Amino acid sequence: MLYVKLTLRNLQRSMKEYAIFMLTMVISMMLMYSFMAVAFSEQVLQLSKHMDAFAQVILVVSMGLVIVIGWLISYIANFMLRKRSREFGMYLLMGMTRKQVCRMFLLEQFCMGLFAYGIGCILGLFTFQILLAIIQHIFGIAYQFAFRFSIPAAGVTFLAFLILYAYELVKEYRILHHVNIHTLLYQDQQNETVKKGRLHTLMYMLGAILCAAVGLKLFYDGMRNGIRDVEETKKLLPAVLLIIASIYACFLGLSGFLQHFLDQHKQLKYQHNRMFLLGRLQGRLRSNRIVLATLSLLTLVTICFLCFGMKFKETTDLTIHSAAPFDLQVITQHQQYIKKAAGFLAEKKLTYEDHTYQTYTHLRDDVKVKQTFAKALDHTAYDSTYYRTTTFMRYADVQRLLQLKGKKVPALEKDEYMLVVSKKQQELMESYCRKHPFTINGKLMKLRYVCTEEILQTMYFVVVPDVYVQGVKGDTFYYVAQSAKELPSAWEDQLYERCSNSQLQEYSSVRLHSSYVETSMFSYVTIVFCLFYAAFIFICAAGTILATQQLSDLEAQKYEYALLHKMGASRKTLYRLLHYQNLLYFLLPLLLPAFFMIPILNSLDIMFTTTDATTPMYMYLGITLALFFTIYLAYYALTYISCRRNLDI
Amino acid sequence: MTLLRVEHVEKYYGNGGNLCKALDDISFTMEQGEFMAVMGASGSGKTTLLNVIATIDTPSGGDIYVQDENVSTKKEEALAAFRKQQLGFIFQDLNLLNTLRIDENIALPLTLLHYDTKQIDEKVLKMAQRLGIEDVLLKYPYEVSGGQRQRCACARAMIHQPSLILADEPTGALDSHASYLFMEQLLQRNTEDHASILMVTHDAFSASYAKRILFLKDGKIFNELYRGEYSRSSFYQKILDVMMLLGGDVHAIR
Ligand SMILES: Nc1ncnc2c1ncn2[C@@H]1O[C@H](COP(=O)(O)OP(=O)(O)OP(=O)(O)O)[C@@H](O)[C@H]1O
Ligand SMILES: [Mg+2]
Repeated sequence: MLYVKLTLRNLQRSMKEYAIFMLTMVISMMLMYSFMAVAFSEQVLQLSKHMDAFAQVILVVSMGLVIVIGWLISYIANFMLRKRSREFGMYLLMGMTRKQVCRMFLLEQFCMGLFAYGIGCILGLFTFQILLAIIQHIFGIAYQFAFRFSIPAAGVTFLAFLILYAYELVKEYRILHHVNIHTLLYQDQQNETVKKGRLHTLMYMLGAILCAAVGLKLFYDGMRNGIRDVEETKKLLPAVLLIIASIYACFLGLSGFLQHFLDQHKQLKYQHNRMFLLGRLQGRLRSNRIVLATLSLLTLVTICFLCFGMKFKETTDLTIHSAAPFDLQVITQHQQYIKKAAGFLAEKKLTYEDHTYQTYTHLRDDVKVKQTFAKALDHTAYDSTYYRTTTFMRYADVQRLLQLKGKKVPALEKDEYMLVVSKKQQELMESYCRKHPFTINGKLMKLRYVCTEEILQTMYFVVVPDVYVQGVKGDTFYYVAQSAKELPSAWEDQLYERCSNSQLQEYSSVRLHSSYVETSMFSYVTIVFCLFYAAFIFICAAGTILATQQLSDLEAQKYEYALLHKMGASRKTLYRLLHYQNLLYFLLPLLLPAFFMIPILNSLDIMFTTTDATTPMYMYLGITLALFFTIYLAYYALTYISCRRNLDI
Repeated sequence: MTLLRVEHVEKYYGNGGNLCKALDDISFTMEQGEFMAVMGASGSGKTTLLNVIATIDTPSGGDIYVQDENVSTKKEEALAAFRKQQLGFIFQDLNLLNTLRIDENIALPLTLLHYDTKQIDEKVLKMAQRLGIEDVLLKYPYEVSGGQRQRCACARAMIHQPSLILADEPTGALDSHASYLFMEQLLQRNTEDHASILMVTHDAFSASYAKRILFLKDGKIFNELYRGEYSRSSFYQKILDVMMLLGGDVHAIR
């Protein structure tokens, strides 16, 4: 009878005391449910044939997040266990068996989780609608309201919940089973001992700086050279490990440093409220070094995720223009497939316009050419062996392609040539061509015009008057078509079948605009959704741990605050003090990410140099930080309000 | 009849060169129905002794018998049962569970022993009336005064009629009047219900209620004092004399 009552009362108290943690658990379960529901929903699956991969990715990411949430639960449960050890000791003292005490605590934990799971799933029904609306908007489909409870989503979320708690329960059970009553009763009087000493602190700090410097340099190199040389990307792993090590080392050193500093400058310590603040801060740093370092790491990862996600969106949007400029494109080394492609389209009853053409790596044998185009991009970000050959095009083909896209080009005289170049390389190429002569039969060719319309150029095409390539056999063959109506994306696979022969090892690149858009949208949705999903849970986990620490710290400080109040400090002053204190704690894990963010984002940006996205990554930092701080500040506000309510002055 | 027999009990803390002997070869016996106090300077091992008897702590050496059963060799489950039936505890602070009301707190030992509800209610009310806390039964521990809380702790420690009540500075947090009231109650429980009480205190006034006082110094029994035929006030004087001998700061106490 009383067990049940006791458990229920404890549950009620814990839910109130750890309301912020409960909130985070509810949010996590809600996100997990709704992302799962999206991944498994028919409306999304039928959007594209790739969408079942989306479900798998979401599943994998969720498993990763289970680890983060598991860490959070384990932290909070340990925290509770430590705070209530005296209470558990009392139970044992009064003759409850360990088994009974364990059962009580575990039941309480389990109920808290179950509550979060239930509420999370219910709220998830609504967030699912929001996510669905966003996805349908991205794919350009009108949002249809379809109220539906997803059983597989609820099932997988429940599985995640079970895994989380099974692990947790076993752990708590083992702790409770082995600790003796004496420890439980007197535990809260023991503090952690920290190795003091200047040498130690100095070592950690120097180590942190060294790791950070080497790590960031390696990261930059790996990113920069990784584009050209896959071997170089191997540097990224040690780089990441070094950066992580530096964050942990920094926090290990910082507490010692602050302690040392406070011991040295006693007069500083006793001024104003500083002792109050700094002393507390130091205590907090000392006992939570590892947790704070982990929070810093989470924050850093979160911000990188958010920035990366937004940059990725920009890239995808822009890439569609350059990668699929025509409704249909077939590129092949084998001329016979071009006819097959044209034949395929002719069979369908469609209104369309098409063009067949080829590109050349050299001009007519009887003309003498002197050109250095291939060197134009040397020592730039686009430097790659892949672009070392110059590709020529016939003027008439370009004219026709532009006509397909509804554009015109000026005519070319015999001693003139034209460049077709991507917008990004326009300046580089143009200035290079103006400086370096291009001669045919000893006659200098004039650069007549630079065209930046996307017509499948990889970097650039050099367009010459038709006579210079008359009768030359091209090396790559193209078939492009523009149709009045969008081509069904399913045709892509059919066309590919026709234009390839796996026995002869002959393949063609077939791309339908519609299908490409679908694929891009798919990868965009997958990556951005997952990154935001993870980021959201990371921030919540960080906010929860800070809030919980802060609230329990206040429990110990209540008396000090009350004393200050009695000694004449006005309520306003005390609230301000509380405010500073909270702010200081919440800013603490942001210090290192602030330092690491810009160099890391700059390095990440290199990944995007060959794409069309030009906005530097840190430009996204504004939006990212706004997003981040909205949630972070919500946690801060919740903490502050709870603290104020608990102060009762 | 002998209730408690402590034989050559030792307790060390720490290890190697940093060894601290908290209890050093302590032996004594305690009879059924006895009211005994343990006194000594701070750090002399009083709490340690009580914890070892209460099976909260394990002794480094020696044996403890309660009703001729060796407590030191009992297994975990048996210990829990032993504490549940035979022991009652009163601490200086933090005796009560904040999640339970006062009446529920008092009833806790009975529920653990599976008494039926009606019996529990009756017993709780009776005990509360005797201790003068029937008005606060429906409140939570944080809503009542320190003295009331201590009396609740007392009620809880005795409600299941344990063979031994252990109290560690039960009056430590009370003022002199509340201490007086509390000690009167405790004495009444001893005389009327024949409860056996072992109480740690460093307050000579509280100690003067006991029939017998054990003085500890550096983990050893330094002296033993029987009240015998003395009145309480002259016993009190004798206690102060021994404390003087022990080198304790008597002026700090009264
Ligand atoms: N957990 C522990 N670890 C190490 N030493 C301990 C521990 N608990 C107690 N001691 C040491 O054992 C000795 C006895 O401590 P104990 O708590 O029994 O003293 P006490 O008589 O109850 O003192 P007080 O009157 O101040 O409560 C002391 O010297 C103390 O420093
Ligand atoms: Mg003590």
